[in-house]
Amino acid sequence: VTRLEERIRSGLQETAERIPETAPVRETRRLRSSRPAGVWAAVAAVAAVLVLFTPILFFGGSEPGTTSAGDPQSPFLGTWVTTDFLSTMVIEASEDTSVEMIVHDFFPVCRGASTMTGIGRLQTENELVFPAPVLTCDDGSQPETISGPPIEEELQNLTLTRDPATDILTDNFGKVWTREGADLNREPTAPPSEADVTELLNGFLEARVAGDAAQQYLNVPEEDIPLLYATSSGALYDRSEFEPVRGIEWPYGLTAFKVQLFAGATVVEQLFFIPPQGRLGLDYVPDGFGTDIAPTTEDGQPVVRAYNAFDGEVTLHVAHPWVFRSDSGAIRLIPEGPGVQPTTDGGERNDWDELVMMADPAPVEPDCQTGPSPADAEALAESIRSFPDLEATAPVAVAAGGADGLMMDVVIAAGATVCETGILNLVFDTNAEIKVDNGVATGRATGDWMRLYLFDAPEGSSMRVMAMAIVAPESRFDVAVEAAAPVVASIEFHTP
Amino acid sequence: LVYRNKVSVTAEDDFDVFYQTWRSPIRRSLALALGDVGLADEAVDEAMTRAVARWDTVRGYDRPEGWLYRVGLNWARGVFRKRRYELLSDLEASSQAWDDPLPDPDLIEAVGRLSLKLRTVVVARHHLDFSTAEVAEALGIPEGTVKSRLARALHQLSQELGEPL
Repeated sequence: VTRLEERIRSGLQETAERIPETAPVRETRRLRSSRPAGVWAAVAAVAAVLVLFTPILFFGGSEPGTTSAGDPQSPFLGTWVTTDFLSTMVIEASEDTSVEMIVHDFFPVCRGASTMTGIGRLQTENELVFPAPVLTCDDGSQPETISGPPIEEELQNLTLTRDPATDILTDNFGKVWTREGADLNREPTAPPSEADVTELLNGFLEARVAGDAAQQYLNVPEEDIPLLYATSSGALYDRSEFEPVRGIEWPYGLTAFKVQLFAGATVVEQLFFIPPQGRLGLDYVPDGFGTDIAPTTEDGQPVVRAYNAFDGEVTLHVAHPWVFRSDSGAIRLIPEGPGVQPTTDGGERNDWDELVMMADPAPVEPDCQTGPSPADAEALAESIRSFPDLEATAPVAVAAGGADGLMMDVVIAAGATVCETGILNLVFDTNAEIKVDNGVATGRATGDWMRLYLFDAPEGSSMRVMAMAIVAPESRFDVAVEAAAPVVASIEFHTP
Repeated sequence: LVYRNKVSVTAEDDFDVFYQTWRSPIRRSLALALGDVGLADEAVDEAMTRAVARWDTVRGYDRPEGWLYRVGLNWARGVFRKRRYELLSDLEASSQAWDDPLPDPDLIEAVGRLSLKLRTVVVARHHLDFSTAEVAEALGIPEGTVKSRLARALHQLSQELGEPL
């Protein structure tokens, strides 16, 4: 070991030791409240696993809380733990018919620990409502709400819904709570047998052909399955088949199946997944986990889905190989070709081509300070063209969805310094050196090309300019732009 | 020959030990690599959540903590991309800097000037104390790439710090 290496080692170790320990703060409030159903499918799968782990991790497998028979509130009493490890909740009977609740670290809105208390009453047999919970920071500071309404307003009528079959609570923020000391052996740990899987799929498909109650076979019953009981023309299904899909198991251990539903000569195909653990059920993943298999086709053509953006002010219609990633807000082009590895390695592939929308993107000054939003598409186009190190074609007038706009192609040389804010974020290289200073990150340009559409939003919109960008390396740029054409043409603006 | 004891240790026990053992070191490594403690907090918890969801697979890896480090890094890189959608602006408010004086500020600043690719390798090698083979496995890159990145990082640090190689 050289002296330099020793200095690196000791410097890193000593610096690391000065990083204070903190409680887990995995999710921000806004992310939590915006998680879509598809993500909750994954959360539900995690929850099933955590039913096994949580009590051991945090309570040493202690005995279940006591409840008194005959008390309608008793199923809710006891100590509960969220499946994301973040929060604990104690519910105790009060002197009257109400219950008292104490929750630790419900929201990460304090610099340290927080405590929430409240008085609740049963609204229905399986719903417990707390009209006005109070959350305080344990260090005496005020909770900081970064976005959304004040915390006390957001917490009003906090509702816990209990599933009597599983003894699991879900609150209206989507948190899943399991009971301290839950039965560890309730969930199967072995992978489902072939017979069980066959029975599940047969039941699901028979229900779809019968036109009723197919959702019970899903891990997330409220998942929006395209063409669930009929084709796009309304024809009912008359028969079905399924077959396993190999090669996309790693490393989640998912089992994939392609199901086929027939309505006369029309064939609907869909991709479903079965998790290796937990409740035996089917998952439909709108992006198919990024495989090169369209999640739903009708007569071989990918089914178009409508997606809303900007609180419904913009609608797009997207079909495979474009996929909409609700968790990131991105519309991405699945890499082409058979045998492409799925993006199920626990991280995210970095080289997907993207179609990105932004409302009123701010021009970014060379020093990375954010300037005021341009008044219209033309002003934004001019500000972009004036940025140093940037090449742009002359804007061309376009129209889509009833809005007028400009189209231009933009290139910043790979390695040029760019900011991660504003429209230049689209070519910000997250693999290169990144400097973060007061929340502003600067880095290097990827060298990707951008096709920019800058639309003047209709009168009455909450935004002045809606920017849409197709971002791809030069080598794939033409293909991505061509593939994006139907998506761009599908834009619809809706004024409130 | 060392056998991993997969018979008598249950998955639940296994993950409990893994969580207690590795959350803090990986979090600190991510903070060093990313230069952002708040982001590291988010990244390690996200990675742990993914680990528990597929623990039966992850526990079979030779170095599950290496997988955890990579997943945390991948997730954090995604944050920079996601910021374009302004979904994660809350993160900036939760970021925090080191309050105490750093023991070797010149070194930390020089490490901070390394590209993220070089920095992640340096932190894995010199903070997590992984061998070059283990770094390669953790980051999913060839060992030769690890060695070349380490060499480039050491060269850059040597020049910036005025230390001989």
